[in-house]
Amino acid sequence: MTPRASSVSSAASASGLVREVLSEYGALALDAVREHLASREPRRHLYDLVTDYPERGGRALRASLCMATARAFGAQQHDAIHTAAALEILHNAFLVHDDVEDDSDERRGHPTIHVLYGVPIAVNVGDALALSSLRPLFVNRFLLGPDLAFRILEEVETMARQSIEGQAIELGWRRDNAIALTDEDYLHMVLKKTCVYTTIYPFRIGALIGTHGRVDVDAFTRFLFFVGAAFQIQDDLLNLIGDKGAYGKEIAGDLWEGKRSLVLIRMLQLASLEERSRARDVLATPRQHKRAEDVAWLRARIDAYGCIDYAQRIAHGLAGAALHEGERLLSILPDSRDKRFLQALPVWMLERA
Amino acid sequence: MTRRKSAVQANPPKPDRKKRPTAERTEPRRDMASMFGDTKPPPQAAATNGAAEPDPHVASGVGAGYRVIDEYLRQGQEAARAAWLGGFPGLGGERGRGEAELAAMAGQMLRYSTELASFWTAMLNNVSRPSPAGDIPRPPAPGGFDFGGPVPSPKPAPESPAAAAPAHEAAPAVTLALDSKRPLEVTVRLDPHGPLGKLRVHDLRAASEELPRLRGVRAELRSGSLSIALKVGKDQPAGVYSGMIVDDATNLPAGTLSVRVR
Amino acid sequence: MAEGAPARVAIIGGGCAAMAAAFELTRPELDQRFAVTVYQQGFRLGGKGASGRGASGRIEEHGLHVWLGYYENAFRLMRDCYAELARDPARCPIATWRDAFTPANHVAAADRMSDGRWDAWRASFPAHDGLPGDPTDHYQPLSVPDYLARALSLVAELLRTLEREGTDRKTEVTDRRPAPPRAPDAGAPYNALDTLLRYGTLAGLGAVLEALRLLELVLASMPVYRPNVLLRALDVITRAVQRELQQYVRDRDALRRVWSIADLVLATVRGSIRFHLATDPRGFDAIDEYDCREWLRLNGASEESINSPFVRALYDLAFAYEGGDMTRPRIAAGAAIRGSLRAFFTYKGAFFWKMEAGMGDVVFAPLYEVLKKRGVRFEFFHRLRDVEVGGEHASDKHVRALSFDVQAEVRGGGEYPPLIDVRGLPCWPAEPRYDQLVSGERYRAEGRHFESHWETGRVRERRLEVARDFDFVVLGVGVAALPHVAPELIARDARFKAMVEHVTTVPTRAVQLWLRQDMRSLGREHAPLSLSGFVEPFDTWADMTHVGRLESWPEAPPAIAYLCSVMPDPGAPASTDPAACKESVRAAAIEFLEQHIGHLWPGAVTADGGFRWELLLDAHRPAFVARDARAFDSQFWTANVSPSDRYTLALPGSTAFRISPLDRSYDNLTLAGDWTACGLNLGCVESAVMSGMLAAHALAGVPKLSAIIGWDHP
Repeated sequence: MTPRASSVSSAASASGLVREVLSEYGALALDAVREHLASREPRRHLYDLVTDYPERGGRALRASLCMATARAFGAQQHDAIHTAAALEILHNAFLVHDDVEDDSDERRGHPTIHVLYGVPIAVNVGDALALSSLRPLFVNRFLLGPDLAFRILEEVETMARQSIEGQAIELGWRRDNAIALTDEDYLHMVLKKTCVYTTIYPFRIGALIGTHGRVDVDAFTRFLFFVGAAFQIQDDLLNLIGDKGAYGKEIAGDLWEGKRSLVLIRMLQLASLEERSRARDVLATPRQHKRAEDVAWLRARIDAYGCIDYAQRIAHGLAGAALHEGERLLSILPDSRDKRFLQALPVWMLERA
Repeated sequence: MTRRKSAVQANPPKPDRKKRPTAERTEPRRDMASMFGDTKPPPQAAATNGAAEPDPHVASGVGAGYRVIDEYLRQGQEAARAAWLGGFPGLGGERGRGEAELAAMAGQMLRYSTELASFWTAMLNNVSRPSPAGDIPRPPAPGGFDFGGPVPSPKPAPESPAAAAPAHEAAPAVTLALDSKRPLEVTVRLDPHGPLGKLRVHDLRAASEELPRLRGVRAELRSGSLSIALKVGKDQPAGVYSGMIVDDATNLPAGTLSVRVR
Repeated sequence: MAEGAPARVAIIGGGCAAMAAAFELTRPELDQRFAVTVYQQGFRLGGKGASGRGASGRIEEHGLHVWLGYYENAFRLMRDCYAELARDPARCPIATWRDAFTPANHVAAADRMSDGRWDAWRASFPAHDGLPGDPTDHYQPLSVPDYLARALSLVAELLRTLEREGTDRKTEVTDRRPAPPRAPDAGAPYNALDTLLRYGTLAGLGAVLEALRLLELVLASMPVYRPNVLLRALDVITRAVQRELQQYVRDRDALRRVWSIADLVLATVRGSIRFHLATDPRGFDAIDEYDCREWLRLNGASEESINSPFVRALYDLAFAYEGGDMTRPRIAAGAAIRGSLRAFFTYKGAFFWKMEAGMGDVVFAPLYEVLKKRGVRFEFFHRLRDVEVGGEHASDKHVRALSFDVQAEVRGGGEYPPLIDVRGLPCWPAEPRYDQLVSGERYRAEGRHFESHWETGRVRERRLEVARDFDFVVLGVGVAALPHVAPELIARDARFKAMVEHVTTVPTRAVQLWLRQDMRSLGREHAPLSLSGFVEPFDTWADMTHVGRLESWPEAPPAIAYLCSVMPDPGAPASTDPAACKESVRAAAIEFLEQHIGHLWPGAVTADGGFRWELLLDAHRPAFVARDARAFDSQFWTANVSPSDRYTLALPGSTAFRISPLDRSYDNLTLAGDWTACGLNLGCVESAVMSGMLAAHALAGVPKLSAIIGWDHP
């Protein structure tokens, strides 16, 4: 186990390792995804579009996490590849529908599917992706044995269901134009909407694969929650302050959408009564009717109350908690590149652009 | 408006009552692993400059994080327990009826906790059911996927897509070459749709770990017929010894071998 | 009410919980923020811990009270109390807390031997460093893995001790296998354990001890990973321990005793791993649905072990019999295991601490005196009849009024002075001080039982209203009394109703005997502090001779014995006849003395087995010698059937229904008692004191939760 001091000084190399692993496993996962996304009719309005989001690239974080965890716990080279592919396909399904729900314009540097082809087709494409994620999981029956394959199916079902419940919370906030939210409300939503399917379950499933279902996966939940929460908060921050080229979505798009990020929640907590009233009105306005000066005003209030700094500190704190939890938990694994990848995740979460 | 006024007159407002303060928390912390006591500083993120002063925002954020995740875990545990307990009549307070089921289940749990047993049942499930033709995807044929080792020997008809597997195949003929002074009973099962390359047989183990394993068992598949060679010493204790037959290159299961020594 | 004026707190009840709350709320540091008035039925504080002085100053208690060495909060309360009291040792026989409490390390369980004889299975616990209630500025509870590691080292110690003392050892069995490898470094115990176990069996004591040590290390240093490997290790170790014990312990009865301890400890460790207690956020609460014996059985303990005298004695000490029925031993596994682990591994000084006089004298009189000095007011003879609830919305629920029956008026109108002096020690009397009461002589002639639930006589009613007479209420009565003293509250609040239904109590019975001969001549060479697990109807007894010097006999009795046990539940108060209950205890005691006491005190019975009644000392007529069973009438016995006197149980599945003192459903009410969700959730002094501290925290914000030892605990 690398002592803390050297991980601070080699934060750059830790991030470099993470990027390297993501790139390698990401490529393998993409190949597997392509294998499983059949190409047959109807192509024009379905199957060609189904591969659109996956082909746009992206980090393949979930697939890589699953595969790396499986190998760190002792799996063979490719025991987890199909499961990882399933997770990526499901992730893309969520992205397609999220973009429709948020009415976003851009994804990974290109227009979103519903902008290109209309909402009805986009919804159908999302459905197809979601269902396509099942197929790779069936392969596990032969690869991993029916018991483990079934267990993985159960895990994926739980994961997807909780993620949808988390999305419901967030959508509900927007529909009800919620203003009085707390940090705990946010963390609870992030736990269910994002962490569950970005970090917690990919890791769990990887660990189950690596140990033939014998590890106590519940023990890792806290660690993974903190990693995922730091990831999401950082992601939201990048939306406000990131470099557009690297980020891939429009800057401040979240404000246009009225997304209740931690930054926005903090601003609403600290705002004066008049400011809160104005914010409420702005957030109640649908995206296409929002005025640029209102969004700019929101952004100015965020700066005035130091909310970006606040969110950064929270993210740092959570990453620190993740390191703290992870140090103990991961120390039991034999040394390997995959183990070092897992250990480096909390740091990378904060470093990435 | 009039009605409300008279209500106010009839019940003159009481002096403000004193109220209890709200407590910081109302539950004991029972999970020692995540205890953030007053004396323990919150962990610093590696990416910060490692300032000595714990940041109050950091601490409150981390505290909020622990509260949220602990509640999530607690609900998960309760749901799991409810599901588990709910399935057994007589549990959760009544004695008697539930105990037999519970004991049986606990016994089952213990039995299946051994490595061999769980792997074994998985294997048996896998091997004994013939797979129906067509839809269920098979492990990708060699050439479509890199397993990281030497490419296994190609299947008899490499150009036909994997989906067109034959529904049933006759089991290959079996030849046994046995070197043993003790009476033996040998049972072999081979997956007709399993890999058909070079085979390897794992050491055959008995149920009790104290009995010596049967090692050096060889299996070979040649032109459709399987030959197995094994040697049993005269001191080998009686018992049933079982193990897996696997494809040497990919380690995918090909079948099982079981020997009863009398 | 002006802002700066003290908040007025009405504390109802006078037991450990209520007194702890009063003590915390009036600590000098709080600067008179709270003005406390205690309302108590009858003439004594103490609740189930009340005691009085009868003829010859003899101590008359509810039953047998022992304190355990892990009662950190209770001892701290008493130490602070005695320190503040600053009694003059020259004038008072119990001046400091060390005078009041003395260590007792010898306990025993009654064990029926293979030849039918009854024997005492003795245990001596080594003295631990420190004293209970020692101040700490950094309290860190042990984690579950810490406890498990200590439990395993207990088994190892057991084996080592037996090997050292070894009787009649077999010759060492030669083992052809090479010695197992020593762990290469402390950082790889897991791998070493795995290697060790690959040998299949552990040959020889050395290997067993090594395996235990490695398992301890593994448990202590990592989260529960691969529990199946740990379980496999435990199985191998269990078989090996059993085998080793058989080699070292020849005597069948001795072997049975030692093995049952090892078996129970290993089953506890096994169960903690299988049930993931180390990572469950609920800690031991997670197994509170199970009965303790049932849970041990589930985790591999043998029938013989779970029925051993050891377990039986633990259940007896906790009165853990549903409905008082000895055929229904039940206690929530989590609370029981937690309590046992704390009792065995975290005691300070001694495992047990005994009181040098009655609990009323040792605990409640000092508390009364200190609280009086601090300005607390005491309204005795006030019996709560109802708690009125007000508030239109759910967020506004509060206690609006309290209704009392005033049972008697004090002559002169001031506060009733409750204490008397016995040989320099302030004590509570066995009867009220009638001379202090209006119509006192009439009460004396009637023999009115002010403390009895069935005594409903009153002089007048009294109603207290919120804001006018009180600001906050601490309800510190016994849980079985709640439906009678707060019927409206119970009727209107489903949670309270459920709590009262599920958190149940049992009546207990007790007998005290004063004897003419000392224990040694009666046949008990070394009388232990207490012995449990004997037969009904009095399965527990203790040698209390040491309190005799503080009674006021012409000569201290050579022996004093207290007997107690749980009592079969006579049913609802409405249908209970307390006099009949008391009579049944008398009859049971006489029969017990005639038939069974000979097993415990061989010198106390005649040649044909009957009890030697002439042994009993009459406190009214110390010189008189009775020759038949009527001698018993001069002794003291009690049937504790009054709702407030019943002992709180921790039945499986009941923990979830306890309400915490921190619960804020009513914004001016808090609860206190060993029946609340106080962290420990067992019927004992420590639970009561913790709940009182929580009640104080609920009103005042202090003491801090981290200062309540054992509150944050797995």
